[in-house]
Amino acid sequence: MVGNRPMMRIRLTGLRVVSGLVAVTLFVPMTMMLPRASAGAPAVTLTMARNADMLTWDPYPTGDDPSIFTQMVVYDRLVKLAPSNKDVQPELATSWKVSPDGLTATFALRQGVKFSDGSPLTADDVVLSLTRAIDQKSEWGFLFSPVKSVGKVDDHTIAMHMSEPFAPLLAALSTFAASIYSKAQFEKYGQEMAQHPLGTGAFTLESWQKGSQITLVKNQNYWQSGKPKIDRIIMRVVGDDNTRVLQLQSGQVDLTDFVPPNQVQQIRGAGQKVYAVNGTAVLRYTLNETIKPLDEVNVRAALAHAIDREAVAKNVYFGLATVAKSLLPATTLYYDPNADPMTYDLAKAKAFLAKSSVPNGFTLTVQLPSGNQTLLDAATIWGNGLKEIGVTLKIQQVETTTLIQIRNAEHYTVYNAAWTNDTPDPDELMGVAMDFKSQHAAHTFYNNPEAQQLVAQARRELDPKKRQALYTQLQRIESRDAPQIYVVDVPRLYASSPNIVGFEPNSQGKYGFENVSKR
Amino acid sequence: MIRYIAGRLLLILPVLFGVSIVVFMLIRLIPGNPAIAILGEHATPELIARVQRQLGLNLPIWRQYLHFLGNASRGDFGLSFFYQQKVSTLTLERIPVTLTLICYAALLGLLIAVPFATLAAVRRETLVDHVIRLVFTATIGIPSFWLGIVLALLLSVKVRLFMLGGAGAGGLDTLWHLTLPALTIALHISPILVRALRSSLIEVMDSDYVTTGLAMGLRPVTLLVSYLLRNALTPFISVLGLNIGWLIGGTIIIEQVFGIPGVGSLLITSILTRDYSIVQFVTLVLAFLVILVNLLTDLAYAALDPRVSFQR
Repeated sequence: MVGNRPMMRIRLTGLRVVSGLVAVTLFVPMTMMLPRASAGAPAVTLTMARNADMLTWDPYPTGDDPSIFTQMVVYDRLVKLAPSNKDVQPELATSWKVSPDGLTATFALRQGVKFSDGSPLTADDVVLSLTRAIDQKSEWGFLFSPVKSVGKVDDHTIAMHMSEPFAPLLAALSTFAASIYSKAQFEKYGQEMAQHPLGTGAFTLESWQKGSQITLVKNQNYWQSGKPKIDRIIMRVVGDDNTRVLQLQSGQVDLTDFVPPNQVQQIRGAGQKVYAVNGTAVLRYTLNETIKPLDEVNVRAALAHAIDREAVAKNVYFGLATVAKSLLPATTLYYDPNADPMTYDLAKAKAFLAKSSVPNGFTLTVQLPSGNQTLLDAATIWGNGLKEIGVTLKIQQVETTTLIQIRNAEHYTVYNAAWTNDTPDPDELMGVAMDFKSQHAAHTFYNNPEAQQLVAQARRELDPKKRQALYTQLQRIESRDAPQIYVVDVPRLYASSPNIVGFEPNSQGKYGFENVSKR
Repeated sequence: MIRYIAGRLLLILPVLFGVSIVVFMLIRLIPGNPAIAILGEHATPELIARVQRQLGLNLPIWRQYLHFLGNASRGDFGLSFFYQQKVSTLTLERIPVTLTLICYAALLGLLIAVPFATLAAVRRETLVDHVIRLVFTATIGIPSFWLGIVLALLLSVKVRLFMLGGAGAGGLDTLWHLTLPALTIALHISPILVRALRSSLIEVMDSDYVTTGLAMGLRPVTLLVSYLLRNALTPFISVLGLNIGWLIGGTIIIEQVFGIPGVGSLLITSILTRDYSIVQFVTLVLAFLVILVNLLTDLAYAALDPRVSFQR
């Protein structure tokens, strides 16, 4: 057959044409089955690529960040975080008053506010929303633990009653958990409100294709005149970090979240804007004191002084993170960078270790969520420091939900995570980290009666100066006893195309779309 | 023939039953559970226990399975733990996108494979054949997610030719959106197709009837299109049919990489969040698809090769 080969040299163009025709005939009808976008799209649309979809519109059972961030767009709260992150400003409440004994807080509601369906906001809506928020069985009830009841004073006034003076009240009311929604809507849908939100926020839900896309449209009844400036927001779920960045660079989306730190320089270089929101989280190592020798304060202090925080900030977060000087993020109220913070000091670390039962070192295991390169790199830097003082760091990567399970069962040795901070008040973080009664002090088993007493006292104390002193003392104790080792303040990163202006995300994850416009 | 098809269709049931048991057990073998995935960092032992009760995960596994089976027989595959929506609704509304992507990818795969395989077969053992074989063998080693990102960077960011991610607004817009992912999958499966088609073409070209045809003065094009391709297609179709699982697997990963709202990205997200009901239902749907394609392959075989008969 060899002799036949030259004869088989034929032109294949015909075959390609036939295949092309088959392709077109097959495909066009099939794609017609796909859902079509509705006609007459409004003038200005902002398209955003997000790393995950939200799960529920009901604040009561909410636990995931995408739900928190999106609820903050559709619902308003009595108060909102000031741009400084350290104070609150009026939102649905115009003013408030706390009784001299600190047990009752009264809020005057803004008049003339309407829900997005045009129905008026009443004191009953606020009472229902907040009564559900303070329910200790709800996901975030712990933020309001001293609040016993919420009552209507008149049509435009509500009152909150507490069992003891409660300084973090306003900060807690600025969180998504205290979102105000329609009582009528809740009564109509019950738990199904998780799918049918009705709020007074700048945008309202138009459609939700679960797991793939959320479309929000401008609330035509929004109480702040002239806002919002855009008509529609499309939030697409794009799980892959690289794809989100590529979509931004190709101009297919205007905005993206969870930008990988290693791509920031390149994104900026391409002329796009990068937003680094500080105060959201501190990268920390949680030590389990039931595992020897982590029960010894000298061992913990040695470990705390052996991590090169500058190197983590510079090399792992590409200069976007800052060195942590407290367990509290730098934007938290009463943050004190001068309360004898942990530093990178190998001589000190060696001296602490010399005073412990393991002066020549030991082997330590740290458990990280698998697939998280950032946390792996940070732990590697820590491992290098620890090697200098004779401690061998074994890095174990565990799948995320399993890791949480191990931590909850308190079977971990060192747990690594960046907790997000939900309120600007230090009560939440300190309450969890330093109070043994609260899940064994964040599963560390750190049991210091003095710290517990300080946490309780700071929660009751209404005088800001005295609170500052109490929290400075708590931060000093934390840095000294090192139940948790803080490393860097981690920013939350967003990127947008250059024509987006007015995007103002805050440390609570609120996007702040009210002022966004497209040039 | 109808009896054969009916018999094969009936056989689907026990296969799906087997798949359901395996998937039901496998997803529960993965460490971590939905309650923790739902509650995240805020999970406390009390909350976890409560959510597990709500989800029915506190029951023994065999009771959970019987419960699932009972409901499934009534067409109720349960609610998604995460989205609180019927898994059948969630999945079925995403099937058109995935099917379009699979078919588009298969078609692009054919468009790539048929010309190159034919060229390689016709110019057997020449430089052209060697280059084609070398290039396609080398591409087997390229991970599809990497190839996807490179293609996106070149054809969507540098040259804004194709859309990146999403499924478009239907019609040609969807094809425009799906071209890059389909091309990625096609490039990924084409080496197998090229090799299969080339070798079956060569086998057929060596047949006596080709020599006879040429001796009788048939034009090579006529010979190729009317005789060679049809005969070479039979083994090729079985290769394509056998690789449908691979094609679907590739689609699942590529959907996640490109952020396409299809069944694949839903499956991956649901595995990560331990959304058991979705994983179970999507796997059953995909298993059904594989069985169906295998059946169609057998039928196509009969259509192409008159010697194959379903009569007993």
